[in-house]
Amino acid sequence: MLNSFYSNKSVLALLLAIFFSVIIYFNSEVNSIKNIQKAWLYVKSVITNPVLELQTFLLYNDDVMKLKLDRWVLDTRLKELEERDFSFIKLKNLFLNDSTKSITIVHPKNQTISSSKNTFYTANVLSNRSPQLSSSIFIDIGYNDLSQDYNDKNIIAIDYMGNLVGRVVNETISSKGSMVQLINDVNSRVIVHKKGVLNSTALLVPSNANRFELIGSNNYNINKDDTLYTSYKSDIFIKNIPVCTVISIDEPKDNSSFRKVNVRLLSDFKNLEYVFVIESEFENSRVEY
Amino acid sequence: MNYFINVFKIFFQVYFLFVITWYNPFSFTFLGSSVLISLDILMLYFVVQSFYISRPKLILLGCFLGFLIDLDLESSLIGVNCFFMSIAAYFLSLVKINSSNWTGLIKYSYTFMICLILYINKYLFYSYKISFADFGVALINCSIILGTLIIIHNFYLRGKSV
Repeated sequence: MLNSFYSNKSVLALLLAIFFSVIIYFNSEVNSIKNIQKAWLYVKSVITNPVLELQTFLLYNDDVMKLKLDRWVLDTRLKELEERDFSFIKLKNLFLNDSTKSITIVHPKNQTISSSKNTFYTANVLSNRSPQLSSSIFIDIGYNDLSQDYNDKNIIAIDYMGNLVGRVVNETISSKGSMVQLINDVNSRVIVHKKGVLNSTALLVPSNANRFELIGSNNYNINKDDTLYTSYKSDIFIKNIPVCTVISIDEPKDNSSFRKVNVRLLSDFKNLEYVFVIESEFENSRVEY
Repeated sequence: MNYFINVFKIFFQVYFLFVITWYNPFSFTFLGSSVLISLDILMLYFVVQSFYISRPKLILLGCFLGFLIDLDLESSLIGVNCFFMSIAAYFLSLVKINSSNWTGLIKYSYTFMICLILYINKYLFYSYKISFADFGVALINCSIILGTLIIIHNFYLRGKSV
């Protein structure tokens, strides 16, 4: 009798737990859940902020050569970035404090640069080492750093080489931190195209954490080793940000007219330490194109 | 009163484990896998708790732990961990229920299997294809959990866990 009672109690607890999880799964966009998540992430940002100082100390203490190497790498990358669409931004200023000093702080402090349309911020990635499968990262930038009308804007993240990382989920932005939904998230949709080639737009669908397949009927202009960029057709991402490179193309089987294109992401999510956050008024970008 | 003290104690323990996870510096990549090789402290805590607390409490703990993992890691799939951890709790508690029937090997093998399934079935919700590296990392992470569990069982609890 007692065993039966305990058994029923277990089943009841299981049903309650499943009911609760199903409810929150289908209502994850509800404000109350997003507010709870925002509060949790705020506390996380407060607690994980010292991680940066700790990491900087562990990585760069008495390691001037490493600093110089990092500085050289950053310098090179920023020059490359300047030659791209972000040429109006002096990204170099974000990293290099004073060229006359022999020691430069590599970990960027949060800084801001604005252009006519977009605002660029630097942000550090916090606690990106979870053993759980995840398609998000947490960055130390919040509404205290962003503009007042950040809710009406698209906020995206790129890595220091200018490759696409993901979009900042507006509902998770707390005062000191926010969550970036990576482009390998199951609900993330990125439209890409090959630069300078008409009818080469396709939709990226994740097949792994860093592997994707392309869906698009007009992808016959895409070849192996091509680099694909965000398309002007995207509703979220600014155009011409490098996203991925084509690693293989499977020819259609039977009567199918559909080619399976496998691509690999350019950004290495697992080793991200800092990102650029771009706050943009999307409509302007679109009209200008 | 004791009930609230226990609830607070568990909440504090769980939160403390999250802080350790956030600060965890020991994690390694393996052949470009989707997850990192690391000691999953939250899972270890969950498995250890399954040896002590009753089945209904473990299910609620799994649900709570899963919900916090969702808040911490998920941007669009909030509820996935909550769901899987609750079900895993139901099955993990069988180790305690059958503690007098099962040998140590069966208990550890069963725990290992549950952990492995818990790691792998998340790929379904993410719509990811499981690569060799992903499966390898899942096996390694489960082995690390099991190894730590055996060490705790033999050296800290002196064989008194289950």
